[in-house]
Amino acid sequence: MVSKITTAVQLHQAEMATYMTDAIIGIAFIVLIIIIANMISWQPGAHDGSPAKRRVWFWIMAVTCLFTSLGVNYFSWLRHISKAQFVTEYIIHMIAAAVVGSLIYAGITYIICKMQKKDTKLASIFK
Amino acid sequence: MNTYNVIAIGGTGMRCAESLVQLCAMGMFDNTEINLLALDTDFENGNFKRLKTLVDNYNRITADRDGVASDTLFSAKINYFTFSPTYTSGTCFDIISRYSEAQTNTHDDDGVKWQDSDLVDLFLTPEMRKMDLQHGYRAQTQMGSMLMYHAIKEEALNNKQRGSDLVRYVEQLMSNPGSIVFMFGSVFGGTGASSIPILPHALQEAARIISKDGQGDLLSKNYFGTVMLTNYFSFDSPNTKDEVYATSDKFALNSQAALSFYDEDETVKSTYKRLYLIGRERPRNVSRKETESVTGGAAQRNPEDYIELAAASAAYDFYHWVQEHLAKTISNKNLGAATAEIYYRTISSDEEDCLSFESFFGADKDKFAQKCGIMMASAFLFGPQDFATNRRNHSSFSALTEADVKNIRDFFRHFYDLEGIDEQEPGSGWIRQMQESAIEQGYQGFLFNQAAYNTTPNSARKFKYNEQMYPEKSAFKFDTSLLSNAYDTFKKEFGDMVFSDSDKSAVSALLKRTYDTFSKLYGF
Repeated sequence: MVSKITTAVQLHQAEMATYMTDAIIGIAFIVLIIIIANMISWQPGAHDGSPAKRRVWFWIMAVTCLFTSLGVNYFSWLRHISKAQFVTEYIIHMIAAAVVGSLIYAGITYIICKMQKKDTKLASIFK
Repeated sequence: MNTYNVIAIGGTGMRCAESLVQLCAMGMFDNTEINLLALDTDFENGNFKRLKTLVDNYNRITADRDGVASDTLFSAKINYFTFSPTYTSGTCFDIISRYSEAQTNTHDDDGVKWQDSDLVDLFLTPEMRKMDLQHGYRAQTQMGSMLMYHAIKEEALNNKQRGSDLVRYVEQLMSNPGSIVFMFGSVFGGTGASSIPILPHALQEAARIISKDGQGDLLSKNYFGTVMLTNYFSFDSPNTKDEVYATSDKFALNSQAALSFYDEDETVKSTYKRLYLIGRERPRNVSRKETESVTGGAAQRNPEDYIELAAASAAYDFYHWVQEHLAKTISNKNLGAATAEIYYRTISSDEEDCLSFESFFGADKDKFAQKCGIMMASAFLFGPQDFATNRRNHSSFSALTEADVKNIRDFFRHFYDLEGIDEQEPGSGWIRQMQESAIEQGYQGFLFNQAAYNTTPNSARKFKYNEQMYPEKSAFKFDTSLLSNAYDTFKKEFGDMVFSDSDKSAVSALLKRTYDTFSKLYGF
């Protein structure tokens, strides 16, 4: 249970925790997209539409990751800050952390997909 | 490598040979080279053309491989030969036999006057003698036997230096004593009924003509077997102005007369090691719904029938029986002469009144179930699921060409046209026609689950061949994971391994890998 954030030290600690949390959320979404990509079946026929489906889910997860991070940040820390100047500063870091978390998700997912053998489901996302 | 020599005679023989080629495609004849001679008087016959198209397709698929293979699809090697007497329009018995000359050769023996043509007049009416032979013998077997024997002899005489298909076929029989030779033909029609009694001796005569020392002996040095199909189909009389034409109302009588002949003729019984008699009580009417019956030519093309698969299974049985008992002779002390074994059978259905794998292959039912099942699943895979195109886009099968993909798709479409794109019979195919023939005869099913035959071009892409292909009580099925499907599971198991030789034999590698993957999934 987070207590009220009233001092600069507490604010700084909250900002660090926000970055850590959003990075972990990003990694969790990497695991999710790997699971989802493998659950989408290959489609028979000359034109397999499943890579496009996996790509769509990649972007859905990216957006979801961003908003999940923002949501967790809000409920965990932002609503415990009452001082106006602290709120402004924290919001900047909250948004930055959420974006960093999403970039971690997208970047690492991209690298993992590119490392896969051709014709695997993950590799097909960025064919 | 083993060699098997097969001769398909007439339209019925061609359709039996089609079934044999499909068995080869399934892999029922591993490590076997099949020399297939297609013999008919009517070169334009639809069945003749269809067999050639099928064999050409088969050979294009196996072209990247040297010789035979095993435990894969299309494992046999097929060498295809054809022979058709050259009957151009207007050719008739009178012309070939020089009847008018025979008529003028008169004799007088102690006051009894006779002509050389008198014997022929006992068997042939003037209408039969003047009948155009371009479309075959039209069930006039008394004429057909003479003409076919003559045609084979003449072919050997005219082409022994130039090497026609028939000459080459006879030469390879001569150079490989101990060969197994099996013939497909009917006993109620025209060409088959005409040829089965005389063919071994005609080939013997051809061997004598071709051999350098005139000593060619095929009969005693090779093992002959034959399947004789009795009247299993009927058709409406053709709408023709010709005076002589085949009518199916005489088929039963023809069959009876032929069987009586085969039972009594010592030559037939001493030539053939085994004769397989196959037929059924109720013939199937194959009259063409949209067009009229025809006397022959490209339009004569009867649908496939499960009886022809039974005939092909007889060929399989004979092949394996001879291999097991190569030197065995059959003798009947009461007759004082060697006598052929004559096998006749009724086809039994299972407890649900379906024609099963056991109905055709008995003790080898599991082998047939597995290989036919892989072929059926591959029809879905290479047809509507277009797996060959998918592989062509992958690095492991980059050597696959568009032509390779087309050849594979064409053959499986002939096996079962799941996409409904065949120009002449959309949605049909060999196995589908087999199933239809079984249903028409009152059976409740044929080999596989009815669901496998009830797909549409749209539903075929998603058909669950992992669990709905074999009959419900069959143990042959494989599970898919949650949210996965048969194709997805297959592709995962197939893998993306690059084969070391797939740059040279991509088609063979693809088929082998497909065979192995399905074998593993179904638990064979």
